[in-house]
Amino acid sequence: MHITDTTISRRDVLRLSAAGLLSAASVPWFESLARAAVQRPRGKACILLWMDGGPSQQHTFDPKPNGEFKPISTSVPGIQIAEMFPKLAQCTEHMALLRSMSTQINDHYDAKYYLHTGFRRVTGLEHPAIGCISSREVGLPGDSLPAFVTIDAGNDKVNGGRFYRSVPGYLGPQHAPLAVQNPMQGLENLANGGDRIDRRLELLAKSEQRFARELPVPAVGLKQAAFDRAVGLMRSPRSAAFDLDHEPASLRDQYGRDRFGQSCLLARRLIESGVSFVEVFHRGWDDHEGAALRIAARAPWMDAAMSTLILDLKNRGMLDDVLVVWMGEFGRSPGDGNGHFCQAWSSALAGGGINSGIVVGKTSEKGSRPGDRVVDRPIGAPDFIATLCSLLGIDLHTEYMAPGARPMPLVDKSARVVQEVFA
Amino acid sequence: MNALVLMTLTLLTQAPNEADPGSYRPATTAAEAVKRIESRGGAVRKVARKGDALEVDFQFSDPTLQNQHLQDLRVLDRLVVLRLKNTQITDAGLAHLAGLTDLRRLHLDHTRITDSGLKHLSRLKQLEYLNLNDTRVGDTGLKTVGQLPKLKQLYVWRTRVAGPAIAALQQARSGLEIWPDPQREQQRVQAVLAAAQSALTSAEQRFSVAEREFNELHPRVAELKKKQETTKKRATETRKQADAARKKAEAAKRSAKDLKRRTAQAEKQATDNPDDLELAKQAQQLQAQLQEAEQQALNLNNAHDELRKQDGTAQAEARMAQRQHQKAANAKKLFEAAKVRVASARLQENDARQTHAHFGGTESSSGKQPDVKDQP
Repeated sequence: MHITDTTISRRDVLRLSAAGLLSAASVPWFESLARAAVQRPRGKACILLWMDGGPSQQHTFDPKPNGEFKPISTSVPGIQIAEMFPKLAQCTEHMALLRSMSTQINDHYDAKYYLHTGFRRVTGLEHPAIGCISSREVGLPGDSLPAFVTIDAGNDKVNGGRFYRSVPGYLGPQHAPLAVQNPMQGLENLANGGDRIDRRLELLAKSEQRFARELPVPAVGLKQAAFDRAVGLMRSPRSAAFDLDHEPASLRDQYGRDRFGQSCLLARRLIESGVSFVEVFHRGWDDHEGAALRIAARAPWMDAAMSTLILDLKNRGMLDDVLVVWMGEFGRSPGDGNGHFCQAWSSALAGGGINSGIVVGKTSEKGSRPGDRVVDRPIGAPDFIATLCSLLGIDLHTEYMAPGARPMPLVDKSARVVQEVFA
Repeated sequence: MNALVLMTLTLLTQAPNEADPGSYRPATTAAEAVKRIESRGGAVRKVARKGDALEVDFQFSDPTLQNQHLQDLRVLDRLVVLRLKNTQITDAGLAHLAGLTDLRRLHLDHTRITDSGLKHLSRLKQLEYLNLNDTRVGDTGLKTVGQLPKLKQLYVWRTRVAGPAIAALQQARSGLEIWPDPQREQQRVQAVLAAAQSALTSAEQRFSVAEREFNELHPRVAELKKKQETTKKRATETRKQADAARKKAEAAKRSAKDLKRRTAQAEKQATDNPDDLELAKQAQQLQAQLQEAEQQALNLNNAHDELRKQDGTAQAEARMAQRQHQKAANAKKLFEAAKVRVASARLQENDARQTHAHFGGTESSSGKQPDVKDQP
């Protein structure tokens, strides 16, 4: 177990040290910080495809024989998924389907919080989201690209309650995500302003100097760090990662010329350029009027984008290092999918060096409502987050210091990783 | 002549990297090597939290990394992962990797290496993963790395490697996965097409059922709604009547029971006092009343049974009418869903068919094999 202090980053230590605020006597500590890079986990990355509102498991990855969507066979003998996803069916050898998610919360916002953090929402404290945790534990400190980026893949209906935005909480604001509003437009205001911007930044630095000298509190350093990050990104040649025009037209077609497809393509570009965690969210999966109609309409783009993402990563030799996760905050009631259903639902993993081509867990097949309960191996939200962290090479015994010197574990003590997905 | 031009070109492209080849002093300690790697924008990481296996990552490094700098890696024990993607290294740099015999994974994608550099990798007997995407490697190079005994994954996307060479190596090494593999890709595209076609058939079947039900039931929605309402009303009425009859029958039963008790009492008193004629007369009167009351209770009970039966029928009719109305009301929704589903399935089938056609037609797998370059 190592307790990490979140108030001063390595970068800030360097700055403070250069400013003479830390005496030269702190050399051993300084050395251990410099060696931190050696201790970092292997360079893994994650793309989270977040289906906001709660996608129906029986219309996607856990179809039932008499369900509205029939099961079809896949590239893995014995595994079936819903018939509307023929391309994903032929990628199943790279995937692990978790069919026994069981998570107790049927309320949108609380469930989104729970499935992003692994903790139930409480008052007075915000737990960090998985993307922010990855930013801190997997991202390279001081990199010119942000470690965590979110992409808004649009919506086909405004539903699903209040939207959850990833919050770094006690990890510090430097681990907040960079938000891309529209994948087709990339990052706005990224154009380099040339000399003019340089002069302005110089002016800013001068005017800030005295303030930073007289008030050397972490908040000032963090504000400067955020500013430096933005300028660093602006000047980095790697910021071209945000521009989809560099991709060949044929590949853009394969991902699908819709917002979700282009978001997945952008996610791959960003990971390829060194971003550690990308969350692509699509809103509108709260299908109270029946899942069949809506998911039939979404199937073509979801099938094309997700399967192309997996195969594109594979072709590039990146799939072993990049974990792709498909999920929402809960599933939908068995049958027509009209209601929220957290007792028994599915999520899907691909890549990241997992033991792929498997199904973990099982929902009921018999009874008046097949699929209304988990009959094998329930997976809770803490178990799920612990599994993601573990796949990303993050030490599960990590502890953080929350405000008020309150030690917070990375994941709840009750969490048990899903061993089956580890190769 | 051509070879000479090529050689000159190769020499020219290598020139900047090979300035003062002999003057570089490689790092002598691991600490020094780590320091140098980090100073050039590289990173040294542990592969796993446990164990001492190391990964060196230069994929986001400065463009200043030169072939000669790779000599620094020699002093790092247990170097199992090396990422040189997107760097300026060339064939000459690969010579410095020859002794890194612990390597399991080697990323050389997006570099200027060619076939001739790959011979330096022949001693990497532990190598399981080799990425040569986006390089000038061709069939000769493929043959060279095909000899690596433990190789499991080999990437040759956007190279000069041709389809037949991949097929030949794939044939010879069943435990080796080569990406992209035109044959496997063709099989996948074929399977996607078959699945898309079956999904379309299933969508069309469901559509015809939904359409029939919509045509049959939708015009009758108002009628069925009315029927549902009238049957429901009737059922409410019959339920009310049956309830009232039940109450009446129960009351009659109770009063008969009460009368029976009183009759028994009167009879006992009459027996105890055989001389009192008045008592005997009262008992007789009560006996007569009891018979009448019991008869009435029986009649009311029969009436209740009859009404209950009628109510049962009315309730069943109401339920049936409600179901029919529900079905009619849903027919439109299901029909809409079936329409969307057919539209989506057609789109997917069409897409799968076009991709399949792009991969060389339908009949035989020996058709025109696509260029490796064209693949996703």
